[in-house]
Amino acid sequence: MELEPIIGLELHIEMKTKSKMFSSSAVSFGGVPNTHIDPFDMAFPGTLPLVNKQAVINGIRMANALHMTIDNELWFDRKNYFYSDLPKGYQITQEKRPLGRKGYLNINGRRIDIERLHLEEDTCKQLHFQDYSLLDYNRAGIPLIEIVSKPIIKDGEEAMRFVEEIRSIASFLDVSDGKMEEGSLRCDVNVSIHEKGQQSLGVKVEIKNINTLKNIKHAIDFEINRQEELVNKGKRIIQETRRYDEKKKETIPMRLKINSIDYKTFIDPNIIPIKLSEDFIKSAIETSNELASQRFERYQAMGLNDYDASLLLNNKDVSDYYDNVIKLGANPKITANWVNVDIQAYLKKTNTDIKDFPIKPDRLSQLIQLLMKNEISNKQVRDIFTVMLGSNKEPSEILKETGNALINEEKTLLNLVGEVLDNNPQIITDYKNGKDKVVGYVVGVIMQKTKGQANPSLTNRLVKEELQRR
Amino acid sequence: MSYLDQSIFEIHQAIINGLVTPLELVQEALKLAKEDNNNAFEYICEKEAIEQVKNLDLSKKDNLLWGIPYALKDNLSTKDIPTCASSKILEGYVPVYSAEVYQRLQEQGAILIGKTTLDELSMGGSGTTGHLGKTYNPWDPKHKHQIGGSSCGSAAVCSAGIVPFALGSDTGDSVRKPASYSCLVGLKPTWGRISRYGLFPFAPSMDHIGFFTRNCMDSALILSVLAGHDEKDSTSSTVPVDNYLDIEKTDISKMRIAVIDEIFDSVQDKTIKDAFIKTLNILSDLGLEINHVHMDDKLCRAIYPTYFVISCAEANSNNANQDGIKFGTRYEAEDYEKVMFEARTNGFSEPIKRRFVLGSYALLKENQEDLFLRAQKCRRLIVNCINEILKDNDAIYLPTSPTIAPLFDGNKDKLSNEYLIADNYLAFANMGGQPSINIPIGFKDGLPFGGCFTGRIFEEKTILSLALFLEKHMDFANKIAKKENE
Repeated sequence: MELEPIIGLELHIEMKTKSKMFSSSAVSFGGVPNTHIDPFDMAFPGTLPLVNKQAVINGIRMANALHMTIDNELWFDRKNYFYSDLPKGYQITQEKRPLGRKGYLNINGRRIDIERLHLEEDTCKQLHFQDYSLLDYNRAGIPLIEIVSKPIIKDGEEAMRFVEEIRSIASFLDVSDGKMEEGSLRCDVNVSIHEKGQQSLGVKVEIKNINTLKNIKHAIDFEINRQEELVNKGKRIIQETRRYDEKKKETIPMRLKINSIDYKTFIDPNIIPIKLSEDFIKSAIETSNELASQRFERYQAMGLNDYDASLLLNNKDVSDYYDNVIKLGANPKITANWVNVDIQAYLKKTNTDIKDFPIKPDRLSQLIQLLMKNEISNKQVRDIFTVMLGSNKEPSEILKETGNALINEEKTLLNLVGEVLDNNPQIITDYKNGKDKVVGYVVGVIMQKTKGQANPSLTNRLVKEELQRR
Repeated sequence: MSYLDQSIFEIHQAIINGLVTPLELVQEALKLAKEDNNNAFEYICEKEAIEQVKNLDLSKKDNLLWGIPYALKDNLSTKDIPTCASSKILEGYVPVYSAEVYQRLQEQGAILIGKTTLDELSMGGSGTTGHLGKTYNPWDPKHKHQIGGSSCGSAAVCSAGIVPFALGSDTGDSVRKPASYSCLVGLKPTWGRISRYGLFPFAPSMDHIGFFTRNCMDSALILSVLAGHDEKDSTSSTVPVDNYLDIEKTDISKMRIAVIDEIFDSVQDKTIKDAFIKTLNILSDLGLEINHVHMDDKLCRAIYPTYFVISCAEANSNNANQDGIKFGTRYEAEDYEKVMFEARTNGFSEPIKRRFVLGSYALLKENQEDLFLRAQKCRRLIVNCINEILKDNDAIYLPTSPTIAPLFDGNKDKLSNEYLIADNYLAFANMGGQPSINIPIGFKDGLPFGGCFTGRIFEEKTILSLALFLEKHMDFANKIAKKENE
């Protein structure tokens, strides 16, 4: 009997809007507990929800990027259940009419259908201590986007790529940081297996608490294995919720899922359905940022190779940095090289975020433009770059201070060339006999004499011309 | 001499003329509040009221509500003033923010002197289910008759002459019914006309803030202060606010009035029927067209169950924050579910829990289609029917209640049309959000009863004008229970 796994994903993306989904308190990550709150977040009796427009715009942009049908009306429901982290005793969500329906993403050439995308609000964060727990309402009410895939993902690798792609979209659209480690992107996985070709589905196991992209793959692959082994041994799979234990690299039972909870969902009577005009939806889409795939095409058109382009696009902030440098006139290829090699090396070594990188885009652009104008050599660029890491000075200023400007005057260089040839007549003879490499030798001597300040390409031309003339 | 039993306009004039000061008014109101024997107050704001009156902004002296004492139903959020909606579970709760209506009244210089009792969490119509027990009807010094609910305390303090106006809320009939039982004008404006920000929700799709006054002009005045959009309540309307203070000038003589026969016929009491017909005659004598219209008997009988299913379903969810962890008395237990179980079991009274269970039941997956969604469809049919009637008529006019205030220990035949229709039809205006007003039209055995006009949405002016016209042709305005009893 050939077994086939069936995997479905449920993603929660925390938005980085200025204010919360239904209140005016600030969205802030990692603030002092219970400092970004208002009476609505805390479910004080009589408070009312106000829909966050930017969150709706974000939702539309995400839905559009996932090729979804976007609803022309905004409806919110109450999902009722009791839990310690749920202030109101219900969550405002979009059960009956999600903002987005029927979308898809292409993952390595395979189409993964997406069932729905909807807006909702986050719950409190629970802080557990030895014998008590505390609630942090800062998280309560932060706007969430929930995305549910169809159960058609085939393995851990594909699931991981799918989440990676959604994370990239959320990040490039400025919707979310998409950091799984920090919980701004959460992924719940449903795994079941059944006999290939059969209609009936196997028992569904849910895996929660997966906190890195790689663990999505590990958790799913482990779970598929586990279930296959059980089936092969003729054992029963239990319907349950499991979590992924990073240390043990296996999924561990959390709780049984006997009957699914009845959330007694109904339309929130405090939010009158909001008409989303065609213009509103259109403008939300038209004003949205470029996606990574769109930037990739742009980078290709500018002459970057695929490798460099995708390296830049691994991280939106890096790509933004790069865009800011070339916007100011720096050569795209040279810049890509600097960002992907030298800057990345620095970030990695010092464990720094690109946002905190000491050389701001305008400064790097100035530096690269000096190189483009042949005012400095590659070696000098590196030297100045090193100085810039520790100072806020303009590259031209550093150049002046260190007296490091390239010698560009033909007369000065020609004098030097003449001097070298006069002292070594043998060179001229060798050259006439076809030994072209003496050109390099002469340039090298001149570089030594000028401590590397001679303009290399200019010197090269002058040496050739002089040798031919003699 | 006391001024509190006069109309707001008269009290205002007395202040302007220097006959009485806001401090004197407030001190008198506080004194009367403390002497109240109707169990109408949850909290008397003595300190706060004196403090506020001493800090009154003299430049606002011309505001009609400047220095006027009033009361709020205790389901309206008042910053730093305890608010418990007459529920044990909220005892000791002090809000950190104020309801929009409270803020507007404060800005006008009106002085809050107390928070009034209600049926627990506004659920109920008898004025008996609050954690402090029964609230009595000032018109019945023997305390045998109810005042109705859920806004029992506000009706009591207004009709007892402690304050000239008091705010309540109306989800099914909770302002209009008690107004009918206590000789008051009770107005529930259009849903969305007044911000609900700060009103403890019972069933938001039908919740309205309303108010009690002793005459129609005072009612128009309070409406003009409270009406208007509030950005904190996205369901509050941006429709421009009419000038309600010139209702006297409205020409009502060409208006058309609908009487729904099926509802009127369900009233059994001859005194009430006769008094109602007398008021109809006053209107037709002026030239108004009186149209007898019909509403399917089944639809009439469906109003109450429809209201009940929807309101219980919404109520259950609205009060889910009372879980002993976030709100409500905490009972320590081994896990969060038990903490919540204990808090809710001990914190809510039986009738409330009954409603929650019914509401939950109606929302369960297997029942939702049959109960909750059917009730929503039914609501639509009822609203369509009312709107259809209002297409050809400026207002619907009916007896507010089929009886005078019921006895505390009285029994009602809950399957009779009198109960199912005449006693519970008022909720149709909550389902459709139409403005609706009670005015006193008669007395029986010393107890008052009223008539109710319901108009098209945002046409508060029409029903206020009609009510004002009747008021002038009768002698029920500005009556104070105590005086009449003496």
